[in-house]
Amino acid sequence: MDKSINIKALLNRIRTSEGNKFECDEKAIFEEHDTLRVNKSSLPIKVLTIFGGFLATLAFLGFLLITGLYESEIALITFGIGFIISAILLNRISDKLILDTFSISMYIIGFILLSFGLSELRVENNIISILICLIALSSLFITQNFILSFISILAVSGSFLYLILNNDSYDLIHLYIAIYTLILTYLILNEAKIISFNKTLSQLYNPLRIGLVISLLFGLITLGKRNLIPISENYIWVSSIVMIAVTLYLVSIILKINNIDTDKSKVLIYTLSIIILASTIFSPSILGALVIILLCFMINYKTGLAIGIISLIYFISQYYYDLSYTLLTKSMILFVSGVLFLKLYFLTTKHISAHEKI
Amino acid sequence: MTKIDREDIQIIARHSNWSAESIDDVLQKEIYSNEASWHKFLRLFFISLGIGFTTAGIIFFFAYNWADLHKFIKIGLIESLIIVLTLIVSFSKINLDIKNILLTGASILVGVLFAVFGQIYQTGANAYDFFLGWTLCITIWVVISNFPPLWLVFIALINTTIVLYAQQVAHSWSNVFLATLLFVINILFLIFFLFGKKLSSDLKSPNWFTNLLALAAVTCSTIGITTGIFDESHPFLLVLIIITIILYGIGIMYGLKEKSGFYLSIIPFSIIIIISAFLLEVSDDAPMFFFVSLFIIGSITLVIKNLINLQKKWTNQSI
Repeated sequence: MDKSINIKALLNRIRTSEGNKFECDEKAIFEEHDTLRVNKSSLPIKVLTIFGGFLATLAFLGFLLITGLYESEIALITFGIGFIISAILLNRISDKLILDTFSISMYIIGFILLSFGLSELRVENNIISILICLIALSSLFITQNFILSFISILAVSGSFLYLILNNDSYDLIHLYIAIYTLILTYLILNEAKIISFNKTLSQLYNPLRIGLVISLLFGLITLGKRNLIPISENYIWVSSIVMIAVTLYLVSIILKINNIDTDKSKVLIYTLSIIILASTIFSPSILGALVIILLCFMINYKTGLAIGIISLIYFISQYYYDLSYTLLTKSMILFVSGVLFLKLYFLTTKHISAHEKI
Repeated sequence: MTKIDREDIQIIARHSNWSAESIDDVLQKEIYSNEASWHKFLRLFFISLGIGFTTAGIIFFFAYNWADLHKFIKIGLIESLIIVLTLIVSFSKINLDIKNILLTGASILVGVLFAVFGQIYQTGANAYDFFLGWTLCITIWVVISNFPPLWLVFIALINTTIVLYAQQVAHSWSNVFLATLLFVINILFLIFFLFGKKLSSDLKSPNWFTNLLALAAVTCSTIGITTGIFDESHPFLLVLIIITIILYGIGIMYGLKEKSGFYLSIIPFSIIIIISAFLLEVSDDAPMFFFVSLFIIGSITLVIKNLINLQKKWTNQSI
């Protein structure tokens, strides 16, 4: 049992550093470790669960459409609420991986039925989305199943975005992006605090992290693709300011990790960072992708890093595509930034080799 | 020093009074990126952005003047780029990986050359010739470099050529026949790479590459059979179904032998889609839709349960 030896070694190490006040429930640790090993959700299983749930939901919706069951509002609402509650309870009772497909299909179908029924009853759309947001939010406290929590977080963000779009208050998207950036940054930089806070938060940490990355990405896409939503060009820097502040804060942490403490290099690095960041002030989506990349690389979170890199490439291409300059001007801008990055490359290489000589 | 996983830290934190500072310390030392990985990351990040932006700048510059350039300059420019790249690959002493990346770039430039040629002389207007020419011209490079991403470009080109040929020339081919052809071709490549790897260690076929090939093949057979089921009475459908049954059987056996959860998930998933399509063809009434949704949930759950059991068996064996 190679893995439990690891755990024992880690426990011993903690005992030496923490001293006598360290107490742990060793039995529970090994039990959970064993369940995790047996129930280890590999990527194929997660993808199968989600795709299977999605297909089943589609077939069920086909059933509803054909039977005309959607004409009875009361039935829709009752079934909707029933499905949501049973999905949550099912997860609460058993954390077996094999029930995941069943419960997430019920959960999604429940939300669809409920909102459909309410809108047939002519309930205001705003109220429906607030209701869905509240239900999804409270489900997080009841069950911490990975996929269900992930879907709940997306449902919460989805309702926020819907509220913004439905009420034509498009500039509020900046607030959305700012809040999500700050929460994500807090979550990632305070991993230790969160996983030791209590059991619920510790189990929610992983789904929260991926959910927030994707929710932030949703917000960034609305800004990154021009004319997707009619936002005022005059306020587009509002999101950028938050991002720039966060990035500079991250730069300060990166400097610390890399042991750069001479004032000369610090001033140089901050000046260069500010120049580069300021040049992207009108494209907060590029900045956002950069924040995701830096945060995820910092804590060695590979899925997030991959999402960040793909979105950075997409947002940069989209930005230059949308830019209403002639090709000549675009080519100049691209060439100059390229040379600047190459210079940065040689600078870091020089710094590293100088460092290694010492 | 044993390797510590993030999960181990999370589990212990859940069941103890481990202080946040100490967790942070372990995370910093064991999980988070350290100075060396930041160095590597920053260098890679800057060089990719630098090269990316600079070449994009150069391409945009030519794109700006493109319409005014003489045709000799247009073609000559691309040809000389290809020659320079291949010369670097043949005679310089740089790292093999970078050489392979350059050769992949050159292979894509061959396609650009064909496109420009077709644009100037209006000859290659028939797109299928164009892709066929492109495929043939890079074949030797693909074989020599034996570089998975380049192989991927090559196989994608073959697939595209066949699809375009079916659309533009072979109007008599049915969709089912086309799907069968693509399925068989991709499976042949897959078998070549999977077994070639065993015969000779020189043939590089990383998992992501063979998995992608398998996914492409299974997508072809799934689409072929489902369209065949909905389009009434296809004479060729039976052939495709028989080939699929045999190859899926081999695929499942291979997955069990190699302990690959990937094959054991995509093949059952494809079968579930095919059966659901068949059920909906039998009847598209409400009860059937309801039954299909239950069938999907039930069968997926069954597949996952078996996968978990197999994983359990595999981990126990490996200890």
